[in-house]
Amino acid sequence: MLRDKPKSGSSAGLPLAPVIAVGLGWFVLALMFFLLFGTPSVPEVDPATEQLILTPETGKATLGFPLWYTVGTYIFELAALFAASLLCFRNYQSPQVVSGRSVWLCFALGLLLYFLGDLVFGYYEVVLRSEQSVSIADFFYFGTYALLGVGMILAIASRRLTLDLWQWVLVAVVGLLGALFALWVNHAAAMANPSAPLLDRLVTAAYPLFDTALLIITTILLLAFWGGRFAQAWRLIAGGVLALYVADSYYQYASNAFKDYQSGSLTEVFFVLFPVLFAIGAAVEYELSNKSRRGIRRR
Amino acid sequence: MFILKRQDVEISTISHPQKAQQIPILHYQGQTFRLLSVFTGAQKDEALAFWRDLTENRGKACVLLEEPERYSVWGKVRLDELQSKAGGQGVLAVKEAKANPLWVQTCLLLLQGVYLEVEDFLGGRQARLFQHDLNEVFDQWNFPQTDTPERIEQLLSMDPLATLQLPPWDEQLLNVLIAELHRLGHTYFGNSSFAVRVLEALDAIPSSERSQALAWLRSTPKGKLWQ
Repeated sequence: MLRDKPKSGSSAGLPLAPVIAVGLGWFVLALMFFLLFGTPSVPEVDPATEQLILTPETGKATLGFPLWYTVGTYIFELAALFAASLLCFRNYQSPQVVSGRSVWLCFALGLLLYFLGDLVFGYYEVVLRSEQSVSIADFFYFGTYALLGVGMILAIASRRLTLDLWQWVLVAVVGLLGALFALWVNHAAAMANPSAPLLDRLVTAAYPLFDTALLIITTILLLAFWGGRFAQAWRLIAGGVLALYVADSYYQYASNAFKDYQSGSLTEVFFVLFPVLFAIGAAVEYELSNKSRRGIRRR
Repeated sequence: MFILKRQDVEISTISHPQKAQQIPILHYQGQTFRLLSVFTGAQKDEALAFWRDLTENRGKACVLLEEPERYSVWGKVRLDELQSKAGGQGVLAVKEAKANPLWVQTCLLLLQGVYLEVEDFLGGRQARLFQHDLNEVFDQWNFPQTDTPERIEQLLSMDPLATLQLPPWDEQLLNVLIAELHRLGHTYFGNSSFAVRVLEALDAIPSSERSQALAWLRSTPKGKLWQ
């Protein structure tokens, strides 16, 4: 029953443990960075004129994050997104991957779009210092949601899947809670900023609702394959979606409630957690798809 | 071209003259056909090629049955000849010998491999579903000694290499099983990536016989799916 034959395609390149260590380490570093330096206490300076930026109404200097901090938060997010996208691409290239290659291709492209969206968003925020809450970046982000959704639906649709009634009820409860919270955030944001243009309102409201849709799909997957090793990777993916949901909801509220909201507050560390969990999930699935199963045959 | 749909035909079973076994028989417009080979839904081309080879190159009268997830090829046979003591001297003589035990062991290992893979990856819930589907396959093709859940449980848990009680399946049933197992695996995993991992189950066969088993598997109509 024992075999030591090396198997083709077994964990080529990157083993699982370092991915988990680096991923979690990166998140902890990001958390410390956000905690230590994420308190806006510096008057904002326009880098072009080296003058203080004054708010028109009060004539006082605007408090904001120092530039290096804002750039730092972007680096934490971008690096995690890029690494997660690469790990998903690696799964796509593995013919043995359990969820199917197309699922991981969708995830890889989705994360890549998010990466590009962050670049565009950062360009607007850091370089152009634009105050608009809706930009071209939203197109990239919406593309991410579409691709993640398609990938998850592919993961479900290609399988034989049955749920009991109580499990469907649980899915419905998750969906309902997610949607209710999203609507509540939307309401709070509208109260805080009644003068927001309709387009802005629609775009920011869309994110938590998209997240809710993704949460529903991951819940279905988790329940259907509960107890199997396949679910290990999907638990992490579900966690990633949840992190994105939290970050999106807070961002929607904050960008309406606070004047000239600058990204970089503590809650946005969830924007780092989201790709980190996707990256670890991808690595877990790669590992269990390519690992030889000899020796765990039970008789 | 002779492609039939399920609603065009009737399928029944008759007792095999020499063995306590049922063979599926397809009735169409007063003619009778017996099962030769099964293909998955994704293998329409292979099924057509097999059918064409039989009809055009070997001059057999065959039909191709198209079902949502399966294609099967049936050869014309006359029931009175089939049931006469001469048995199997019909239009299409079919190998009726009980299969080599090694082939049966190979198929049992594949069966257990797919089952374990489903249980391990997709959890107990999907494993129960798989047992149910497996039961349907056994019923549909009348596999002997698969009539109770306990027996199926035993097939899934026995050590095929250590038992003296191998199920009496002939090569035709083994061909069916090889095809159906791949079809089921594909249904559960959504892709064919499971096949490589399941094949590792054959490593349990002593190496002197393993190459024979693999060569036999490759030679079966559906064996290529697994390679």
